[in-house]
Amino acid sequence: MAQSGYKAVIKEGFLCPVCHQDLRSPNALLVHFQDLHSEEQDLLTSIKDLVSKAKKKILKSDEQELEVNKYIPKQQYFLDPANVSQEVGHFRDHTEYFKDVRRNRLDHRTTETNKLIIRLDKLIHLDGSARKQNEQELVQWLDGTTVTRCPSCASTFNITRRQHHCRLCGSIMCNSCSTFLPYEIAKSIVTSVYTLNKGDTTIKNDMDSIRICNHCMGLLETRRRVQISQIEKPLICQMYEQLHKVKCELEPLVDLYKKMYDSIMDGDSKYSLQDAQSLRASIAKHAEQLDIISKRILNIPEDETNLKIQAAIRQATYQYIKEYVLNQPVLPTPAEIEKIKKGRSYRVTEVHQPLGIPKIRKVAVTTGWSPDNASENNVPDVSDDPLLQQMNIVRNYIQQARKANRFEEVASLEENLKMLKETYMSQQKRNAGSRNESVGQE
Amino acid sequence: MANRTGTAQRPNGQTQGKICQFKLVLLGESAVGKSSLVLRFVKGQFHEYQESTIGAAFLTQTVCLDDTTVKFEIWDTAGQERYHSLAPMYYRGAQAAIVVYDITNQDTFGRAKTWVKELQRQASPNIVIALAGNKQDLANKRMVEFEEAHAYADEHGLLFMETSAKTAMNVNDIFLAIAKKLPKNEQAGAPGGGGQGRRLVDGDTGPKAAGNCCK
Repeated sequence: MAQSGYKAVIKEGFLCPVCHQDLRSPNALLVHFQDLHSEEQDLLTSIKDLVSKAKKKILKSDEQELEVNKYIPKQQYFLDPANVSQEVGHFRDHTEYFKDVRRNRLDHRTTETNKLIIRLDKLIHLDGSARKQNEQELVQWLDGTTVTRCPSCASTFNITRRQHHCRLCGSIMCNSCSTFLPYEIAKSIVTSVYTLNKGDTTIKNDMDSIRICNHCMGLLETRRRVQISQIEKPLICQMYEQLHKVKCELEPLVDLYKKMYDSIMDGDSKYSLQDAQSLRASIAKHAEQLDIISKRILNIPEDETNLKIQAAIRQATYQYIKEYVLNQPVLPTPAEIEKIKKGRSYRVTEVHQPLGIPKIRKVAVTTGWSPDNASENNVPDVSDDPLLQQMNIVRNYIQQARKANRFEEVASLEENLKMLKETYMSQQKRNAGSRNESVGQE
Repeated sequence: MANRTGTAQRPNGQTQGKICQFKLVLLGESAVGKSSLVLRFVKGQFHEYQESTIGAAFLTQTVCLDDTTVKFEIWDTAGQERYHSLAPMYYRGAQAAIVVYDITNQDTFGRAKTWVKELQRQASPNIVIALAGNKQDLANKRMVEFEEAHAYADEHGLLFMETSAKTAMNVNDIFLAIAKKLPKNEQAGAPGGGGQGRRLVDGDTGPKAAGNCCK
């Protein structure tokens, strides 16, 4: 502008487009324009438009709210009749079609995967010499002369990006589109199918992996994942097994308790009251464990299909504890036992048979038991008398049996201990007697 | 007295009907493999260097025969001479006994014969005795012929098997054979099998027997 010789003037403000006068405010501009240049209507409307647009922009948010408020009742009006009743139109079940398609696809995948695995098995057991030739005999390699680009990533082959063949399907790809399958993994994939394998002798150290394409790798991986998921049990199964295990432990205890209870109520002194009490405590502990596990099962966050089962398990366990475990009779007090013992003589013949028959059926300790023999070292070897030594051993056994809730064994061992004591006493007496005799003789 | 104890304890045997409990004792020279035999039977284990037993060890195991469950209370006695005074206490109450010898050692067979004699003289007359020729896995060092032991067992009415605790050969079989031969349901009703075992303990036989020789 300076070049043209004029003095450049830049005006700012509310300028009248016609007379270039600064009017200092939009209203003043409007009034000025209407008064002085009213004949130029077109311009006026354009200015009005401009101002109203600006106004709108400022007020827009308010208006929008208004609009929304206006529309809501309308929407309801339109939706209502649809909600009341609408007949189901024509519909069609696609499940069969879906299953058909799926079956075909799965069949195809399975046969393809099986084919790969059979080939893989053969490849693994190939002889190291002339490996490449043997590989090509097994799997027809694609002719690479007309292939200029990698089929999976479309990069051109050249000196640096060479063609490679998948050893499983024979197709061509570039280095980055192929994977090396280590022999160890290949072997594990194969052995899960052929359990009657040929053994480790076939593994060659010099060929530690084989090149396969990503497609084949995907198939093999899917198969592996499926196999793993078949082996791995879902959480709910694991916990249910835990529950079952506790139940299995509990049942013989309850049976034994019933047996001990009957025996005690008969006034028999074969089992001690303390043993029965500690057994009862251990039953309670098991029941508590059952309760906890079943609650945990109930609270497993799972999809809805399992919710019913979870609730059912919890319910069943609760019922089981209530009916089977908590239902056990309470043990008598020592005073009551004395009473029972007194009244025993005539009760024995009448009560025994009907009481025992249904209750004691299952009492069979099915697993073998033996005290820990290493603990013999704990037995104080104070005495040279084998009898005393044996008494100590048996006492130790009783402790262990009691700890293991083996109360039948406790009873037998107690019996033995009693016999040992009796024998020992009579031995002492005899010794004393012979000593007295010898003293008397003297 | 004997009857009372019989009835008191019978419920376990009788009312279960199908469950019998028997006391079994193992006898034999030391180091013939008594403990190994029981350990194999009870726990399915075998230790190449089994420690020698002190006094008498106690183990239990249950076997199933058709519809009957037989629970063995096994007393595995020490073979060492100094513990022989304990043995009568264990075999007197027993319904079954296994006398063990080592097929690679003729002396142990002789000792086994003495044990059999003692059992037949002193133990309960109904006791079921089995003769076990252990260490069958060492058959190439055999010193006791199978026929010889077999003939002896036949002659004295014993069950006989050659066993190996190491290979588990015939171990379960010999216990099963004993279980089969033991009187069960028929006699379990009467104070027979079980009663005999217990009678000595709380009953009159023990004290009487003791009384005869001790007082």
